[in-house]
Amino acid sequence: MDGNEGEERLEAPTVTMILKSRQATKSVKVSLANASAITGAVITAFYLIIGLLDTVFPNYLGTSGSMGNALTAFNGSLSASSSISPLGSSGWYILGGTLYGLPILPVMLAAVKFDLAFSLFVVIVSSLIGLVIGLYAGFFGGIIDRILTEISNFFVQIPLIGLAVMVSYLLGFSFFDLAIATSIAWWPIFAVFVRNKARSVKMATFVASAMTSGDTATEITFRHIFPSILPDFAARVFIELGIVVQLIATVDFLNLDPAFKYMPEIGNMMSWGSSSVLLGTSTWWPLVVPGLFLIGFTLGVFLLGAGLKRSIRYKSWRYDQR
Amino acid sequence: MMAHLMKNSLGIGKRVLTAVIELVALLVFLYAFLLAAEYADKSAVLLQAAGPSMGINQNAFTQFFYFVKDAFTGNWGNVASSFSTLGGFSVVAVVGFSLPLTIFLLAISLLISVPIVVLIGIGYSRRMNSTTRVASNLYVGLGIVFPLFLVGAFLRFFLYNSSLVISAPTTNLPYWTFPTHIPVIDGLIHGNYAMASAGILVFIIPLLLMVFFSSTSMLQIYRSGILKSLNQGYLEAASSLGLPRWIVVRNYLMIKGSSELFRYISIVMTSILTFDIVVEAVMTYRGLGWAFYESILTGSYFGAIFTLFVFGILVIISSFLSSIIRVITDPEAAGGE
Repeated sequence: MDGNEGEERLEAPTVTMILKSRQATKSVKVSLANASAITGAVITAFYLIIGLLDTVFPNYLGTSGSMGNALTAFNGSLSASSSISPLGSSGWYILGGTLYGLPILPVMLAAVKFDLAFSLFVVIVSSLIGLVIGLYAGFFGGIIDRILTEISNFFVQIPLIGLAVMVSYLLGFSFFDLAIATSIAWWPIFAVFVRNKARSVKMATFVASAMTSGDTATEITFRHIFPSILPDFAARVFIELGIVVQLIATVDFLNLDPAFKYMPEIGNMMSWGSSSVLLGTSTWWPLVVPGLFLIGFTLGVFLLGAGLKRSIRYKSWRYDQR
Repeated sequence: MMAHLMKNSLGIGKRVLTAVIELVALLVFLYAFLLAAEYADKSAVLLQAAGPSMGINQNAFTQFFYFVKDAFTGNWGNVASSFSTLGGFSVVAVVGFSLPLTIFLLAISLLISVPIVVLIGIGYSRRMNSTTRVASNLYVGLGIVFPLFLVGAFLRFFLYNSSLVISAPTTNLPYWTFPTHIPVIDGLIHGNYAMASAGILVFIIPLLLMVFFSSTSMLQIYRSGILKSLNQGYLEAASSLGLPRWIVVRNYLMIKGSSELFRYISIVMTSILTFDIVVEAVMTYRGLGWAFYESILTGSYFGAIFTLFVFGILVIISSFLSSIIRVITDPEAAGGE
């Protein structure tokens, strides 16, 4: 007779269990009460909707094609305008114009699609790779953990922006190349984060219980350890989303990637805007308006990530089950 | 203490050696592919600077050994002639002139930001929702939400015509001062106070940016060290024995926070050096980050690769020093984890 028979087995909840539980309803209530999560979700949803709009209705910004195509068509023929439309002008110029006589508002709205596409690609690819490797390294330890540590050390010795730009050069320099290069440089961040969390969860009673009951390593890592680190992981994903947007804006602001030169992108717009300093610091809106727009996005994803972390309340759920 | 250090020195030495090999391997990968591709195109500006002596016409395996030899013997090629300021100069000269400025910026910013991190970090030893803790979270949050380049761009824009910003591009080498290449120090050495004060003025904004962003980056790790330690049983025991909170903070929590910082120093340093590249590029501060930026803009891969190499060496040196400090200061680390 099994010595453990009759004893209540402590088991970590799966994602499905969390979603179906009463505690999930409670979590939703907590989320609703959580002002920062709600604010973050609203702001992020605003940017997502703008990004989707430009994808689904490419003409809504007043151009015959998408804004990206419209700008790319300039291909070097853009010339700096000596007069820049002021704030509060009519139509698309309501937020003023920028260096090339372009209206800020539609270019800025079109930029959301590019920035979101880039950062979502990087975060999804690098977080999935980092999640799988981090979970296994954290659970197994030993040689796998050692290899992961060495690989991540390999990448963290070089400043991220330098590495991303150099690998992008290597791949050929296009929008997609920079996204791949950034993912290559970014996944160790997630892997190390997940690995550290998994190592601490590995010590929990429910993991030991699952091991003694014969669950496989994959079952333990994805059914027991992963749900335990999910809140922190989700928060990290959202925060990194904001940081990747900042990175691509930085690369474009510094003109480090020629492929982006005529793309509607926030960093590009700020680069044009900073050139307007030659017209005097009273012409501030080409720089400040896109800058505030970028801060809005990073603030949104940061608040959402921080709010989610507090709201999911995995721990209280677990203790309730006992 | 020395016994702990000796005991751990083998592990530290092994880590440093591995790090150097990894760094060279990573850079040679970039070096071999970038330069070989350019060589094959026969169109690159680097050809005038390179020459077969650097092995760029060899296969990747051979190039690895060329790269290692060049890296450690100082044969780093010349900067391409299209480099706006330093065309034709050797990469070693560029690094030699720009590195002191970067080291000076990093050293002063760390000297200021470390006490800030410790002071704000103590806020996390307080109970949840205390004012100090909320203020600490706000400080970290600001560092995450506001992109560095954006803050730098705003400052540069609005201070453009002031003496706080280097606004006019210089087109020749003599921007650098002698003997240290740091205008503040060289001005003081030569009694040229105008040079020293001008050096201080253009140093202020890069310093402020570095201090703020480095401290928020370090604070995230320092905070995790403190929060992890708050749940330790012996901390509760110390409190229940009536030990004043400030002694617990001073003797234990601050050390654990610092230990965590030293533990992840390579990540911290890489972030700080990333900030450095952005600050120097945005503010036209003529350090190593600016040299890297200019090299990329002008396609001078020798300049780019070897400035990255120096950045990597800085990370490795800081890892080495922090490993030693951690072993000395944290008994838990010294006893093995």
